[in-house]
Amino acid sequence: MSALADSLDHARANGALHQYAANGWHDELISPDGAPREPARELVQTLQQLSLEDLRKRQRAAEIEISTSGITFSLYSEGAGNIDRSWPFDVIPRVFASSEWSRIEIGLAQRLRALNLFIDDLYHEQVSIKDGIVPRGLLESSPGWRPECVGVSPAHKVWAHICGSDLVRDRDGKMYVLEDNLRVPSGVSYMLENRVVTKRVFADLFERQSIRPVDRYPDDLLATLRSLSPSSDPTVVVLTPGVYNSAYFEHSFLAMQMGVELAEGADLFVEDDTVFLRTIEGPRRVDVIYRRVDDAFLDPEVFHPESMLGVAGIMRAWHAGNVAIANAPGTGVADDKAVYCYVPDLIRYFLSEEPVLDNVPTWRCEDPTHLSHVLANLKDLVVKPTNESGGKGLLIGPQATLAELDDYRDRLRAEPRGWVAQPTLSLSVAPTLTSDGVEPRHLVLRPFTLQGAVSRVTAGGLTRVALRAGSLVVNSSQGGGSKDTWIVDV
Amino acid sequence: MTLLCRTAEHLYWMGRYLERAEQLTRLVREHTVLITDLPVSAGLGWDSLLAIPGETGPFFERYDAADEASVVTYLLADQTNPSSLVWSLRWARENLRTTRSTMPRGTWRIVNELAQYVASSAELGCLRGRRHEFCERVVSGCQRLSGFLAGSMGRDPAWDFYQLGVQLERADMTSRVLDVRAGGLVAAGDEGDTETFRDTQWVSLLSSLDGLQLYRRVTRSLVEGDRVVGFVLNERQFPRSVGACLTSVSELLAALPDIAGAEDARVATVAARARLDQLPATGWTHTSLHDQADDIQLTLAGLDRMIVAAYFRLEGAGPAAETSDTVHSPTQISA
Repeated sequence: MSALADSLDHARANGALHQYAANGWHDELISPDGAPREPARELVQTLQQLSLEDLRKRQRAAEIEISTSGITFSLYSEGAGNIDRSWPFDVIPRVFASSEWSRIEIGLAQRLRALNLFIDDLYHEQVSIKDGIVPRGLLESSPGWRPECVGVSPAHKVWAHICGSDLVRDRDGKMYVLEDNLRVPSGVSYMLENRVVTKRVFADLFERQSIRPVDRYPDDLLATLRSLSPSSDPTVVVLTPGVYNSAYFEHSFLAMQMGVELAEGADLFVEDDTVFLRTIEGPRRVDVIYRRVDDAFLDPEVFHPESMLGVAGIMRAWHAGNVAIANAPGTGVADDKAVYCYVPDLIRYFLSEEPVLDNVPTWRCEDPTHLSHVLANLKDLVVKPTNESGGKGLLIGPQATLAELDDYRDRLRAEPRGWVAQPTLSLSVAPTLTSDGVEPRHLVLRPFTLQGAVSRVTAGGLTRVALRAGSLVVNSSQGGGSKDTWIVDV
Repeated sequence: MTLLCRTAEHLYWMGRYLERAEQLTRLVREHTVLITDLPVSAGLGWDSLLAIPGETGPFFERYDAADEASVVTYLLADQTNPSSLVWSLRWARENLRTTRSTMPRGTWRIVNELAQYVASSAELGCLRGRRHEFCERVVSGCQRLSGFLAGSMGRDPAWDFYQLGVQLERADMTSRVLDVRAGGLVAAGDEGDTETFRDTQWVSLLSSLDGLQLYRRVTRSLVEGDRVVGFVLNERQFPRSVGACLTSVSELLAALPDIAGAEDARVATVAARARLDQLPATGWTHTSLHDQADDIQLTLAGLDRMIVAAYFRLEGAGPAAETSDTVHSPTQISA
């Protein structure tokens, strides 16, 4: 008995987690006293018994798997030359207890329901503005507002059918919603692929505990899309901007998983306000388009006339109710970061419910009192442009130089509507394999919420990790990686 | 099922490029074996290898002499030669990229591994000592893919277009091998070494089309010039014979939707198939063989145009689509 205990101690002293410390941050796998958190117990025990070398072998096996099976992403900045960068992946998963996750699921579905009612209201009666819930000026200045959408009534009053929210956990252990992406959120294919890879490298762990599967997503997505058409057997397509788009892998992956066609703009045309697909048997009517093309490029008749990515006349067909578009055009108005801070009020207003998930406290620079607070406390805040994605234009006050702070003060004063600020959260960490061994790295979680006839939430989501020590930026275009996300029954 | 015109076109080209990659690799391998077997006095050089894919002209624009290193590098590893192995696999992969959602999941992995291997190891193929190993790996990679697809692809129009590409490319390559290799053999008189090694060269011709064993089993005779020509042109049981490829093309076209223009391609295939059956069994000369190969290549080019017009540039399917910039066909490249 004591020989066994000795050998376990010995294994731990040489294990991959030996000398691991979370440095005072909230760690997703290990409690402050050093014991594994309950849902992560099996995982942490395995990590304690694996040597660092073994863990690196598993990491390499995962990377080879990713490279040969062609799980890639590409960067706009690199042009056409490099459209096959392997997806960056860390082999150590992040774990949630299913009890905590159930609450998050309810909160995400609630949020999207409220946001959809809000969007529908904006393009119809605008009672939420008349009742003073959100200021009219916010709407009129939003670059996501599309007057072309006024009066359209999509099925189920749902405009944003696919939402990717970013969630973070602060030092106090509480989860916050950082932002909602209601236009063309991406990343779900990597959530699915990360699981496939993890199952290969940690197969044993899946046998010893109950980890919720994630692979229902393509079926859920297809069911959501089909529910948008009155037809009993609708033709659904995925519309992609093409192979040079950074998310082309995902567009192709989702079309394959759903068994629907992957179309480019040139594969579709509109006649008599109806959208058709060019097939080898002649034109075929399209009922539902899951578009991964930005609003502004969707229809050269209505938006950018020079766009080659869209389909001329598609907006007419949508207005006529002959095709469903997911997400509907015009949803960007509700993922404006200046709208974000009203979401809790919108939940109360439209649903008469209390928000289940919290927002991060947010200062809107367009409000003069908020602006002066932001200017005075800039070095402690994170400043974000209201209408960008992918971490572009972000200022992290505590990490900024004096010159950068001065520059941002000028930019905020010059265009206050363009910016919001939030306290710098102490994002939680998880053990991550680095060149210096296993170290804590900061995390952001992107779950995906679907809403059509019914609402569905992914089991977990895509965990993104800032691979650089101390960094809070998780975007894969800026040195971010990813992890599998486990919802474990305990 | 629904198949987009654009996807159909990509599948067709993927089939052509993969078949070309396999066949080109086999040619280089067999030529190396043959040259090893023949004495210098037999007069066989590396230039005849260039003539098969019709690359003699383009080659001499870039190289001074058709020595082994230059020819093999040009055919296997030259990134700028649209007939090279690396080029074929690269474009097979690019055509697959846009059809990935239509193909069985493992397809991308196989093509990806193969393209990665060739891109990183093509210089091995240029070394005579490592060439066999390299060529084996490429050929078996191509066969792994065709075997995988035969076992897991649905027999739907996606399969038909992929196979159309394979069969047309295969018939084209067979006719070219016949033109260049057999043309010289039927013409040669009884002059010393050339005569002595003629049998070796007929054997090599069959090997480079992967048909030697089958020839022996089917004909139960020695390797003889006229018989080899007949076998390669029109042996029903030999899957690389021009006749067998045209039979496949005919069956594939019959299964596709009957839309405007489709009938032209069907009629042309049946007619070409019938002409093959009228060919003489003996008496081939250099000229008659060359004319015959020309006729086949013109027929195949005509079929390619008819398939493109009927299925990829569909009439009456709304306003004309922009041609996708990711379809890369050799005709576009050489134009």
